[in-house]
Amino acid sequence: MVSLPSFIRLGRHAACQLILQLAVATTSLHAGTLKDFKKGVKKEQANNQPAKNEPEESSSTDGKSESGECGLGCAFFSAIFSAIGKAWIGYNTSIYYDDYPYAGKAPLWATYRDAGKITRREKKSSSGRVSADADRNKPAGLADDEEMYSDGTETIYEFDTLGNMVQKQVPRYGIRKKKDTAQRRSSPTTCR
Amino acid sequence: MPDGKRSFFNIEAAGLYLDRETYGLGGGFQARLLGWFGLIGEYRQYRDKSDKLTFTSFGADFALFQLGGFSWSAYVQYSAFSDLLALSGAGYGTRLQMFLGGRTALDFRIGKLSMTDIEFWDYDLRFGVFVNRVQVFVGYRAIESAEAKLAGFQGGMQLWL
Repeated sequence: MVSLPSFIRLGRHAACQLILQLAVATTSLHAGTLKDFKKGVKKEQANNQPAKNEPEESSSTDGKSESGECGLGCAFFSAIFSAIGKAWIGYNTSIYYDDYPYAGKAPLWATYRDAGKITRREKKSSSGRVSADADRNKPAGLADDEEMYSDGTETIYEFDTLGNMVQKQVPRYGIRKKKDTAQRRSSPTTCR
Repeated sequence: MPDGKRSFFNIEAAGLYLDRETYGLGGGFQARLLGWFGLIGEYRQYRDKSDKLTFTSFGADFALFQLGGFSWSAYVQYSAFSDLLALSGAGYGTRLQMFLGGRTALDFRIGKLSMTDIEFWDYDLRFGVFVNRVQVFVGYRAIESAEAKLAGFQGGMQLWL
């Protein structure tokens, strides 16, 4: 077992080694000006950005730093309010993620609080009655007697990250009346 | 001489030497308030001939293991660059403080700064000698990523209360 005094002796030895290493490390110090540091940061940020570049955001950051409009205090409160805003919007959108076209696409963090238990907000009318939209278990925008069906594929054109136009085949969906409802309507009604 | 156990408070003033044209000045504090929880803060202003870059951080420090003369803690903090570069984000890491006897101390901190589209490694390594409640220290300080590096020697004084 290593005793505390021997551990401290080891620490002293490490400290001496550290000083020697520091003396040798002068060659690997910061090289270049602060502008070079900034260039390096911008370069790495550009490399790390996702496929869809967001030029507005990066240019606004530049503007802030150079014009000095947003100082340290501003940046601090901006970051806090931004985080609160994102959390608030994230929460309020995630509970609607069972709506078409987001069905099954709940954000990752929502799964941590058991996405299966997420309940939709019930919209009550002035009379206190729960709306039919909230009652029925189906995508919003469809009537009770309607359903979605796959209607083959269609060709769309998109720009890729390099700005080239690419052709894609995507599924096409349509809305139709449910068959049983349509049959019921067409069949003669009996009078009692 | 303080031993870094239980509660303590220190403030520091430090200077940094990055190269012949680039240097830094700043201050900081560490307050271990409840024996296991504390506050930390740091301010550094880097300058060269034409530019100024400010680094600020403020956060909380949690002791994971403490003995007389030995403290291992974890920290989380808000960090920001301003002036030449406007970046902000969260920082986290771990810190080892050892009081070696003979009025000497070793302080090592390693962490990450996670900012917009970039992550930095944040190292702070220092060796100090106590004169009563004042520690005179020298060390190495670096904030670096794959493409950018801000690193240099540091030296300063820390007052332990």
